Amino acid sequence: MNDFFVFVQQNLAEFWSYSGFANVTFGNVAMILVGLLFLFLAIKRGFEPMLLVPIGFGILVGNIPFQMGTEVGIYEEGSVLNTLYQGVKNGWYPPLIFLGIGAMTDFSALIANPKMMLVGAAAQFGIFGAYMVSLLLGFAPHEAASIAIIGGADGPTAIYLTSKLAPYMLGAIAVSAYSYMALVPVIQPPIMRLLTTKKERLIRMKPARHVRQSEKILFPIIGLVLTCFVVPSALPLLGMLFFGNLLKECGVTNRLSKTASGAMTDIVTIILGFSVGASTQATTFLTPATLKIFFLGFMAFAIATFSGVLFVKIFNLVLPKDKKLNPLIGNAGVSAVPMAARISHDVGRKYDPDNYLLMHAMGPNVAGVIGSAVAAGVLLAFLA
Amino acid sequence: MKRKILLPFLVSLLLLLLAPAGAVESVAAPPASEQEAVVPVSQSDPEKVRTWGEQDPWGVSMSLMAMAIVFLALLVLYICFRAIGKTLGRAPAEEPRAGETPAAAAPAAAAVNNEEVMAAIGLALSQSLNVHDPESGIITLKPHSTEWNSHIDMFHTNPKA
Repeated sequence: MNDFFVFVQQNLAEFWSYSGFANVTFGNVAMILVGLLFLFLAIKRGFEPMLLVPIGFGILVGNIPFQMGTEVGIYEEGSVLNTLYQGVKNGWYPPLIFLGIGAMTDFSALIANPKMMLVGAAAQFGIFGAYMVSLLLGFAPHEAASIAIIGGADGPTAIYLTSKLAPYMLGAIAVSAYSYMALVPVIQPPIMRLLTTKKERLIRMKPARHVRQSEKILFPIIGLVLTCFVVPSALPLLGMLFFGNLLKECGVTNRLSKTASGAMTDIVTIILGFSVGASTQATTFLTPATLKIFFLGFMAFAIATFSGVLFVKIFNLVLPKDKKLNPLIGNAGVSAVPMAARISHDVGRKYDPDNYLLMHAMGPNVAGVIGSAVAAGVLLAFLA
Repeated sequence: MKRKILLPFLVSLLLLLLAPAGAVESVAAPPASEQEAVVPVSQSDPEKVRTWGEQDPWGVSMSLMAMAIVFLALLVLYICFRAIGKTLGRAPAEEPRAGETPAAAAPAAAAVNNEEVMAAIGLALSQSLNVHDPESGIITLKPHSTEWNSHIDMFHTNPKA
């Protein structure tokens, strides 16, 4: 009988050693609280719920304490989470998301007014401004590049570049990028108001011309060839973006386009968000570097907004009087589709309720997606 | 709004100042032993990273070159689509696709009254979004007897044959 109790006691003790209670650390608890905060922000406040719910729940999963060697952790070879994480680590998911973005995006606003491409390019200065500040704060060039890409306001691009250059910072950078994308309505309007006069905010732009279907079909083909000849390292992102757009516009692959923009994007978003969340284990996330990344991410967004709005103001100096641009659309160059374009529209309507800037702002907005992918390709070419 | 935007900035700045300073080369990379155990390895070229770190410590060269390339890529697209837009703008209207009625394929830009379009969109949105007034869910119509439906008034309590 005594042996039986000893046997039970030993097994219970062993079971306890495997349990989360025996392995919990302060870091695990802190990260679980961070995960709960994300879920609260997504569910209660509606901040980017499609991304923050998978990421937030992934943080909970990734920070459940366990004993190493049980093949459950995301960094343990052979575990289910590790298999899902391969898509993040090897950069498979971001191009698939770009395929979906391409299949969802209507580039008409950009094709109708191609000078908006330059506004989208100007806003990418946020990336390189943040790169310089990151170097000042002591980050190595490849880490600085990974942090700086947050300024592109494009989650998949940030994840793609970081997975190649500094994968150990992936969790912090992805969480920072998506957090600030959710905070675009808070970050951008004060900067837009600060940089513009009331007269500029009232500028009405000419309605965009009609874009022919043949132009829409040519855009992804020519866009791919021209941009990827300049930056072949951006091929996985731009190739998929333009391919998705061709599926949408060619008119003969509606089923493929529907799948790419619907079910496939949803599946990849779920797995990507969850894997990124689960990769934020306390040992790699709770470091002083994470705080710096959050600070630099905010700075990158702010610089990108500054540069976009300022570029439009400067551009207006050379444009004819009847073709002037409303500088409030400059912020949309940071991608964050379509949130940034909506901000332009909402801020504009506060000063002139009949001024509809949304479609004008969609031009630099989608140009920003191309611009940030090109910027990521440049950084990859220089540093990888 | 100003407070909202300043708060994350100030908190980040404060935490940044309080955070211990890292090594000059890398403040983010985990220790080598930990890196081998749990964290995937960077695909960056150490030689390139070292050269960039030495030759361009402030990041000015990288920023200038990279911005120039980003502008070049998008400038080429701009020039190309400006030319395409001008060329196709002069071409006759596209033939309607198979299955499309000529009316559906007609260019929308042809003498469209923007105010009418906006009004139509507004009406459609209003009809789609404001389907019904919000209801409390409480039934306010209570059963009420009148001469028309009252059993007491319409039937004899003691019917006679």
